[in-house]
Amino acid sequence: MSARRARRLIILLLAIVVVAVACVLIGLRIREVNDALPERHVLAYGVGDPVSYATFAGEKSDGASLSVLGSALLDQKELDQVVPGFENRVIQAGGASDMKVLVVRLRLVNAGDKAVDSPAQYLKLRAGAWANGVDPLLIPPMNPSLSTLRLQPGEQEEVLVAFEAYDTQFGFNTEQWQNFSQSGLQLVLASYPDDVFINLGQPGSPQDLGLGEGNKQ
Amino acid sequence: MRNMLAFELRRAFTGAPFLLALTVGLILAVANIVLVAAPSALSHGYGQLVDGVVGMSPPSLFGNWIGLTPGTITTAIFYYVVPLIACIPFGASLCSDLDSRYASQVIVREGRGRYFIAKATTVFLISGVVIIVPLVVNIVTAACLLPQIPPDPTTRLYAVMANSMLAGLFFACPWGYISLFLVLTFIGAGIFGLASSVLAFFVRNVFIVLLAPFAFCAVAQLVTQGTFLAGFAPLNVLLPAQPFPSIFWIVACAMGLTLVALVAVALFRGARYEEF
Repeated sequence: MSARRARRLIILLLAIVVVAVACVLIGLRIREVNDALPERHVLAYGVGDPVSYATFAGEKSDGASLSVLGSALLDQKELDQVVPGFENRVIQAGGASDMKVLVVRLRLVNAGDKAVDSPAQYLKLRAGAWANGVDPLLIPPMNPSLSTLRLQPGEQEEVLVAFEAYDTQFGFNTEQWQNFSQSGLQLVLASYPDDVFINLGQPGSPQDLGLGEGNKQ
Repeated sequence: MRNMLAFELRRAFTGAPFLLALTVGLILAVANIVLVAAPSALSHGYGQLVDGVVGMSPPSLFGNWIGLTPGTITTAIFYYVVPLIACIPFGASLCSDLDSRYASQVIVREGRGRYFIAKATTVFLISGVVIIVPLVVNIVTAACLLPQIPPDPTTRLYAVMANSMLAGLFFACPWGYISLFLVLTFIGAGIFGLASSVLAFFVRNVFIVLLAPFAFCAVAQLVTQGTFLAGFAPLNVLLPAQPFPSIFWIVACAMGLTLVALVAVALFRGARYEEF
């Protein structure tokens, strides 16, 4: 073996060793970064299941719970009947040409000994890659008898919350837009560290949820 | 054939243009880490975020690598100059070979087919590699700083939205999404390099040959801006953050057809090359 060839071989072996050591160190560092994460649980509930606030809003809310009584998917026309005169700013500004509104009826129960704030306005709706938050502007007209979202000890309340979906949010995914009601709708209560959600199933009609006729609850 | 290919690969990967293009790409990839992942991972309160005390999701690797930070200057520059960086290493090689009559000498000894196939293969590979290496370095470095928290659309921390191409894949299997975009980027960069080389059959000017793919992409970007075709502009197609929606099968077909057309032109023109 010539000296030149031997030198090349040594350089090649050194390079392999350096790369191997670097790979091991990088692998250890990546594992260390991911091991620092708390254990993640997926907590899935169904319609009617009471979910303790403590599951998603911390220990201080112990005793309070939330459950979904039902949901309904409304189009623009049906929303007009439920909330007459409601003006949607996205549609008005030309940000979308069509919308769907998922209305969810929640039961909030405070069985604890402290007053608790309702998480209703912080809930999110998820369907695959799509997500949106509650429209806070629709809470007062949909719940005319509701004066506050704070529950006193021993109190319980039924609240309607609405989530809007727009055609422009789906781009070329027209199939998902058309089959929105069958796209695995989930009411998300928390996403980190635990993924806590309620599977809504197939939403019903506005009548099933007791909507219409000026939204009498 | 193998000797010819090995010779062209050695020429390409040991050349100064390759090192120059790779250095530019690596600088942008590392600058992105310095601007995005490092400040997040080293910020005050990051530990509390990770512990879940705050109740918010901490920044994840999947939303903080160079492909998914469209609002940063490094991502904007990197993906805008992809057609340029891809062509620098070997895109103008065929033009130089034809212009200097070097190609004629090699063809006499090795044959047309061997020379042009080896050249096309080398250009495609080096163009892809020079783009992919900085991306992989960026992903690995970001993974050393940020955890791999599964993306969730409700957190609003991710550039991929429901209207994005393959959004479902991103939220279900983020590594699959990243891998697919790395493959798309490799092929896209290879197409840019190949286009640059094929142009050498028609134009014998190194600067025009090098800059043509970049100029084409810039014009396509401007022309499609504000229309429904914006998502199909070459520069937007390769950007995993996808600022504009597009359709995967159309993108895949367009890339496949372009690649086939370029290879066909290269082989056809190469087979008829007679300048000895």
